[in-house]
Amino acid sequence: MTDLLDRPHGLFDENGETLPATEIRKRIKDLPALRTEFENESRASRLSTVERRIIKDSIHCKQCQDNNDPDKVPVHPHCQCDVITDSVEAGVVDPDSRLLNVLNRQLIDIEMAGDSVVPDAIQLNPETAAVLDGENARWADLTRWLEQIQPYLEQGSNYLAIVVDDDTDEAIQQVEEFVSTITEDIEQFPEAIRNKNLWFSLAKSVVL
Amino acid sequence: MSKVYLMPVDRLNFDDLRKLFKKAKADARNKAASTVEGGKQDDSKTA
Repeated sequence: MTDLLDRPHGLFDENGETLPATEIRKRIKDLPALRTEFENESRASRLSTVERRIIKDSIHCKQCQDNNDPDKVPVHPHCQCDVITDSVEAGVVDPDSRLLNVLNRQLIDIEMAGDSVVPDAIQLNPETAAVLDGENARWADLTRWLEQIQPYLEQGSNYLAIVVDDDTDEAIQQVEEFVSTITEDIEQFPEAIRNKNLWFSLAKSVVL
Repeated sequence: MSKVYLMPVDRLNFDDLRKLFKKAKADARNKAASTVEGGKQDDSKTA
């Protein structure tokens, strides 16, 4: 008890010094302006649902926290230093992952933008993969992803790929959880959700 | 069947990318819609 009474009272600044009453009044006065500034943040600069989920689930390892790479290439994709990348670890442990396997034109429909020649086969770069809900994906998500993968663009990738996927394990799991929370009657609903996923990734052409 | 839209990295431009993104998004929506429609038809047949 004595200890508590002996400690200094009041509000303190970052250096532990007592704030003068005028400074406290000034900071309180500034609060509404700060709040307005926060609320006026543009929609494009806010995190998407996917990003928020990834940040929530991300593990912040020391390597990524101390990332000394001048280009800020993330050490681990699930760390907050690369918040938009998703499902990469799942892809690495999954031998049937589309991120690691070669996708050829017999197995998958490949379309090229412009007049370029369509390659026979490609492989997606798991380091750059991001998954978004096809229904709610925004242009801002794609441009944000492009900004984040900038350091990877010169590491041997030939193509930027957008994949309309229909059987992502993660999506199926989410659907099952979601459907079980609302009803047991909508049997076709999981199929609908299953077909909504968009994958963004860099890709390289592969010679078969 | 899944579909992959590609754009060469060395000719990356935002106009083409925007078109590609719109296309991919529309395809994702159509796929979802057709699955729901198929599901409804199956349900009515069963009924």
